[in-house]
Amino acid sequence: MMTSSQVALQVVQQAIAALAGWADPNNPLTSKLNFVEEYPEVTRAKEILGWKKDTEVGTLRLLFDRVNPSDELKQETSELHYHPLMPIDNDNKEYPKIPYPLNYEPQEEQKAFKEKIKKEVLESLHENWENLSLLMLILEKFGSCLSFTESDVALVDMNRATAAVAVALFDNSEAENISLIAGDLSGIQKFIYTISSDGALKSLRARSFYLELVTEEIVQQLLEELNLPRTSIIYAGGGNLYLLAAASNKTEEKVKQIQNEFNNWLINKFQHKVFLALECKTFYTNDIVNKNLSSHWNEVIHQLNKQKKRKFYEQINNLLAVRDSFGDRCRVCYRDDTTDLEQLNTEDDSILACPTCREMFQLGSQLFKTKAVVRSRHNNISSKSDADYIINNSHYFLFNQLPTQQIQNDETLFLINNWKIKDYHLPHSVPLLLGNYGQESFENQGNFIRAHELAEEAKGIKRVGYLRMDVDNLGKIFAKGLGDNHTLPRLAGLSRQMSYFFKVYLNSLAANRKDTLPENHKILTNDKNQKKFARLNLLFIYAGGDDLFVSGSWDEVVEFAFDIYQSFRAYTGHNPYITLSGGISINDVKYPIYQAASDSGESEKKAKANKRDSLCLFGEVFKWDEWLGQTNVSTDNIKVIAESKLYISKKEQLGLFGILPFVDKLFNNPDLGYPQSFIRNLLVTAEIQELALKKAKKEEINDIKYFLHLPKLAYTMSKLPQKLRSHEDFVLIRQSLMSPYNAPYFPAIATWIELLTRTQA
Amino acid sequence: MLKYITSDNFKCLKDYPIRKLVEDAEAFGPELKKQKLETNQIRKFLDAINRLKAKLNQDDEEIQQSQMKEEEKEKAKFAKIKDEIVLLKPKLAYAAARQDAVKSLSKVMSAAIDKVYTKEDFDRLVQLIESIIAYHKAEDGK
Repeated sequence: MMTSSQVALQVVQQAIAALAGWADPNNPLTSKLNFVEEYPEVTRAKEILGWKKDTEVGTLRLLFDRVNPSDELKQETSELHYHPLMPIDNDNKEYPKIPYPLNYEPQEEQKAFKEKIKKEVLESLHENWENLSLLMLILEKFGSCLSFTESDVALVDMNRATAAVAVALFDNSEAENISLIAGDLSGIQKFIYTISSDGALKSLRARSFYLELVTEEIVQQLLEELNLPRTSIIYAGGGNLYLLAAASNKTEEKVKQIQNEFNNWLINKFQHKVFLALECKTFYTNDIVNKNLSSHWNEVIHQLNKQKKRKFYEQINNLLAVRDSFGDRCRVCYRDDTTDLEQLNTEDDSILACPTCREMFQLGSQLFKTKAVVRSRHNNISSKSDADYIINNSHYFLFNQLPTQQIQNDETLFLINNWKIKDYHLPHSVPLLLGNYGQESFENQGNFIRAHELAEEAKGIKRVGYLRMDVDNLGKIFAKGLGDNHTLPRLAGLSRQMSYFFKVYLNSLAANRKDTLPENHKILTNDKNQKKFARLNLLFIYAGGDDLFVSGSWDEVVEFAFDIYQSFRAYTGHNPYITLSGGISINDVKYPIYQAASDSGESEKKAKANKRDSLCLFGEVFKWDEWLGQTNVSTDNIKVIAESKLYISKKEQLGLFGILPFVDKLFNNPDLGYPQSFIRNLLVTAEIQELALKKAKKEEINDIKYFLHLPKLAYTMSKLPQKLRSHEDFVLIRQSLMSPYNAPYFPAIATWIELLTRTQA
Repeated sequence: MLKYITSDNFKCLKDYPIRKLVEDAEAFGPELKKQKLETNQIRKFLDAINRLKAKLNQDDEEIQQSQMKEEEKEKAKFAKIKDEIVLLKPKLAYAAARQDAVKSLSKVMSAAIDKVYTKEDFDRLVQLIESIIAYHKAEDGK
């Protein structure tokens, strides 16, 4: 009997054949397929998606170039971008290189890339021709930078979309309708960020990893119950999931059933903190490739939001039941409905915690070395692991290296951030992508770095930094960013590439700054100071989907934020509509982590309120272009200061503009040798200005903001030693600082330098 | 600057726009330097200004504990220094009589003092003299 996996396999094989045909027209695969009869589901799916017999693989245009969620024509006629021809690989390194787009179509590079495919793929294809998960990995690895059917549709996305549609038409190839299943785990923030305890950082990491597994388990159960292969997943990660399935009563029933089971389990495990919304939307199969898809998509999201407003409606009796309340609370999550409280760790003064929090703490200690996870419905798997976590009746076993034993048919092997083809020869091997970079502890090797070590490693003041960041207007970008080109393969491509940045390339950027910064980047610490330049003292708490929460030595977190913004903008082809906003809080080691999480969240909100594309740092909010600044520029050419230009209304040539260029000139110039009192005077002036602003009448605000501080600045700088004042660089700093255009920035500049140079804690 | 302050552009010093004030001080400070004004020549005047500033910001228990509204409290506080502000003028005149270099500053400040009626006016007076002196001193370091 034919299975849905076979249908998916046929699509994947055809995609692989197309890839092989491009790399080597003489390879035997194409002719091999000619003797296979095509399933009617596959024929129809290909027809709908525009995949023809003669469709060929080609170079890939950057999909981000197309994105315009606004109602007007694109502001800037940006140049065309292409994907560089390179596989996603971490063969000789921990994380893959970041594929920054090219501003030309790669031609000469094709030969080498084809050779690579021939060598690494074609030779081993013969014996793996039926291995769906291996073929999928190959397509993801090599087919993410190649187009198929249309110049901006990636081969991997076309393949997945076609396979998903074909499987949804299984046994009913003429089906008029198809179903989109969407899920959303809400309350994640509550679960992750509201804890307080020692070793909180690693517990937080464990919690975000655990929720990733919960998301995966929901997907797994949907796949099993609906008899779907993994190709039917459009997107899954960070508590969100989208799948295609057949439109039928059975689908709807199963979806309801799985949702109820999961919510019962979630109540038990997390006491109503985490809720699963799961919806199923049926629509015309042909809408997969037209504009209507966008309204179906929005409709299903709308339904999810409705469910979220009446959480646990189905479990209402449970919700209203009398709950036990014992006097003693778990000191981590503050639940009081269990008496099963035990010490969190083996230290003498350890606090008492509930079973879930103890489990998370333990998971945090195991995660650093975890390379693979096996999911099984039973607990007697052949390769034993002592780390076994149960998620709604499924077992998840953690492994520090790849299990050597064959895994069984009903098991899945997840390989964490692994792109090595050789590791996927076992069937049911699946990549698990995680934004999970973390520095190793210096004191306790084999574990994540602890907060006090992060503070210790900081330059200047000994503090920990917390960064939260996410993509601006993401909902809008997905809902209407693609305009008339809103098709399933493009939508899948957009979410894949967006989440790749946070799950895959953010790791690369954190671990290997030297080779991953984009061209023309601006940085504070240069590679003369190798250790600080590398800024490795970071610990990701969560990164995926479209957002991140990262901790680290405060100075390195600040630089990492600047790197992320520049890298993301380059990665998305500097599309003016695709930007990031972020907030950073800088705290003492003892500061409770849930408070730091909420502070950095507040900062991020302030950045969003500043018309987005902004960063809030040291309590100051500016556009990224102001933080990054420019050198030797006419005010005519600085777009970001339109408002100041309107008020100041005179043109100026600025040696330095913004924040980073000043900090760079002042901080990276040891022979300037200015006294510490200079920075203190700047801070005092900033305080006076802030005080005056508080009392100011509305019509005086601009005068105070741009001019009141100037006499004091002039005086402060005139007091500096003659040698310094005549220094070429300082003349530049002085002239630029005295321009009213730079008036908003001197408090941030002074604070940054002050924190970097503070000697005592 | 003198012309602007004595003109009818504004009646109360608080209406002297800060931007204009700063730009005027930026021109006037170096001018005074050229005229060889030294700050020690007006030390008594500057000390008096600072004293008044301190007095104004001092917490007066009697006023604080009274039933007055915030606005009225401000007024009551200002009333305590009002007469002393007028006494700043002779201090300047005395210094100007002894040193020619003080003369133009004396004229500007006297004209400004004539337009001080409220606490807000006085605040602006302080901003004015502080800006002029800052730019004057900054000339040393150029």
